[in-house]
Amino acid sequence: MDTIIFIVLLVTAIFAAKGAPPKVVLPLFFVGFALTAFVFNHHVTSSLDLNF
Amino acid sequence: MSSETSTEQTNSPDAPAQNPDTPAVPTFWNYVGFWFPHIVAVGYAFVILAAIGTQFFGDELPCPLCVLQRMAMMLIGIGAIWVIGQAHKGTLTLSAYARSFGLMIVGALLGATMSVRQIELHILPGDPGYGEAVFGLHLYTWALITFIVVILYSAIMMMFFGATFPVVPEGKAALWTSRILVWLFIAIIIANVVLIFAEEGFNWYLPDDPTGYKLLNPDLSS
Repeated sequence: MDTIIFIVLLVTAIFAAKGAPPKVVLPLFFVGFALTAFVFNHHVTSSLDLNF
Repeated sequence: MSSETSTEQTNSPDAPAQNPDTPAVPTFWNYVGFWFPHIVAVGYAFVILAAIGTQFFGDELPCPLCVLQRMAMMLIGIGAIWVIGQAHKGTLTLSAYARSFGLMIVGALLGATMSVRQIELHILPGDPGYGEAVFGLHLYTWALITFIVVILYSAIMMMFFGATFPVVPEGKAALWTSRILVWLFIAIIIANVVLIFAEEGFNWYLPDDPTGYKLLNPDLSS
């Protein structure tokens, strides 16, 4: 998933650098944002091997 | 206010025509508005480059939260280079300029949430933290500081919105400097695609405590 997110961010960055219109950059940006938030949620709620 | 409103109503942000928001006589602050997004993108490119250096020379594999913070930094950088791309293309309007700052703030808030989460994981007394400290603070603490700086930067630039409307400097040197800086940022994203694919392999998620490159050694336990 992390690799996929970096690929989405790469494509978004290339379009942004070319000055692409909002209808291209904004959906890509928010797909990247949502996937990042999803993976963050996975790691926050996954079990951690903690010992106290 | 009235001129901004009329601009919003009569010009699509992606209209390729002459842009009425561009000042006839650019000031020093218009050039500051153009170069500052470069500093944001390149600043984050160097931060991630330093993290990659730590990965190789310090033998510290990035943990999942570290990787997520890199993603947030890239989301912020995308907002910054979108300003630059539109300024070069001549399609940047005041509303598009504001939109890019909005993206930067959204990315910074996501990154700050992740940094705070990681700081909290190591907040107990006696916890050495994850990885080596740099100038007394761990990388995730530095990341939180940069996210707060981006939010402050975006807020200040939006306060002086019209005065800092980016204008592309004339001359090939400025043009090529700008292009090289933007592509440096993109090159860092490409490097991360390769490095994280090597670390994650053909798995959906990174392990909580990575011990090696799963693409090269699929039998790694964690």
